[in-house]
Amino acid sequence: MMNYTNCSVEEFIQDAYFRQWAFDELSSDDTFWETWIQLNREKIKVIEEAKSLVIALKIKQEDVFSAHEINEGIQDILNATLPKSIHPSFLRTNWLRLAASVALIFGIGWWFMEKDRSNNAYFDQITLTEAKAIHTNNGRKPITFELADGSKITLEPQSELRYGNEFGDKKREVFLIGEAFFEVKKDSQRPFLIYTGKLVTKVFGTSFRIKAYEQDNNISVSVRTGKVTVYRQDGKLGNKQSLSTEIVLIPNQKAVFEKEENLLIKTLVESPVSLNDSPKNTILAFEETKISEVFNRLEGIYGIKIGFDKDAFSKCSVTAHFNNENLYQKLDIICEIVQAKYEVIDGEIMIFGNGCQ
Amino acid sequence: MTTNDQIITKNADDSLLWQALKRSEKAAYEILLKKYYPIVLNYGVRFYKDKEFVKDCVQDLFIEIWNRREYLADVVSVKSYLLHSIRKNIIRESSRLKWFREADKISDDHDFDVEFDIETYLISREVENELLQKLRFELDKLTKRQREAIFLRFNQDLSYEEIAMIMDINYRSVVNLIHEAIKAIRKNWFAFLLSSFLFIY
Repeated sequence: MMNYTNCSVEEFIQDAYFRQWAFDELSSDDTFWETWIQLNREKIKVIEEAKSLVIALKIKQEDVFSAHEINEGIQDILNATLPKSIHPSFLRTNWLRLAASVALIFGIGWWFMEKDRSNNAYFDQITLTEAKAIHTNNGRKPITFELADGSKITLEPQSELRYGNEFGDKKREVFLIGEAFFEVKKDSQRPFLIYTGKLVTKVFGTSFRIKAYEQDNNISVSVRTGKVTVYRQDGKLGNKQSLSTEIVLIPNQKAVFEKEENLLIKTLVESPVSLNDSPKNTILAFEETKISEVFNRLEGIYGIKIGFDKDAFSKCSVTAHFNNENLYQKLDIICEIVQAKYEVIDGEIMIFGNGCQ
Repeated sequence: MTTNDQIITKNADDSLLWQALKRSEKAAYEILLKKYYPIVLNYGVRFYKDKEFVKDCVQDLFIEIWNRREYLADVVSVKSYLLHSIRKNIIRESSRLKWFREADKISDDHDFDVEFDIETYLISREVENELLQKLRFELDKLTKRQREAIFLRFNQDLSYEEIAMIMDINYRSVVNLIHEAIKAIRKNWFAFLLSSFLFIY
């Protein structure tokens, strides 16, 4: 046993055995420290200080991730490192994942396939590309396969995915008819492009949703996490898009492409979600808080920029308690307090008002 | 002390597993994965609060390790190798995101988010609110790097050498970070505490 007689406060703190005692983690028949203190009464101040510091420096162990999430994560990794990409349990895991953070969903009605393809400009575009591989699912169940870059795709029935010879060299480009789940492997050097009619989606992150139903008037791309670029494709494949038509989306932003008007607009999703799911952040309390600070907090939570006239609003403060209100309800309340209005412009929030006296 | 011996045997186990992993033994990989996945995940989320983002980064790290298993270097401590890698990856990826999100606010500073657990303890012993406030105030003044060092030293029980490796700083800096943190708390708070707080043995 170590000789503790000449130990300083800091040495006690660094000692694992002492820390165990300070936290009451030793078994009840281990009375070493009690005995030691009896024998070294003159060191009691040192012990007291060291003990309280050990306790003070303890960090809260929050269970940010549930046991279920951890098991699922481990299972995902084990599946991803299997020698062959297709494995009996793979499909099941993939469906589980779908619920959590499905990479993306494409939907174009299956009947699209039944249309006369030669009359369809979109299809022409695909066939123009020398296809390296065509995956067609004429069955009744989704099929899952892996692309050369490690991205995984679950193709729904009556759907088809094609890509060219050069897939994976510099770019990763795919063409989709129908519906598919994509789990795109992160690779900042080689963007992953998904062509759906006139809309092209460029992927960096892994969590967003695309709705591209043929019968709808618009195609929308909503971002949950990560970064996504969306642009219109004018003319034939290979034409460089002009930069002005490109929209970059961050979490909680949405791009809507109006087919008739050929217009691409950036806005916010219907119900922005907190970028971090921990519940303590849903409760927000402001007491006479400067409005700049309030907006700062909201920006932090939702990752959405809030613009306002800093001079005009410099004297505004807010007292409010938020619990389950969504972003728009919170903004309504704040605007009511400071007599202002807000608008969603280009995927950001702008506050208008005369400020406070 | 027995603690040192424990750490050595723990590392010996890990390095055997690591060697086996390099020989493509999936079972070894699985043991290490199950052992360290939760630790790496919970460390990672301190830097960036988006859980899915952190999960992706951790998944990429482990898959990368398996894919590159034949080229892996020998490591002294598997735990600090993993924590160092995830720290690097998350800071890199999140600053890329941040740069993108707020192009005008680039900074080298990264977040490290921990909360001290003192409140639970003091409340359970009915310590007065004033004292609690005072201590919270002192703890909140610690820098992010000090918090991270304290987290690794006292919550993950890592050695100074391992912390230096994880945080990419030298040994002396780790000692200083922890020493300064303890000194600051002792100086500003402890005198106050002793005058109003009695321990029961």
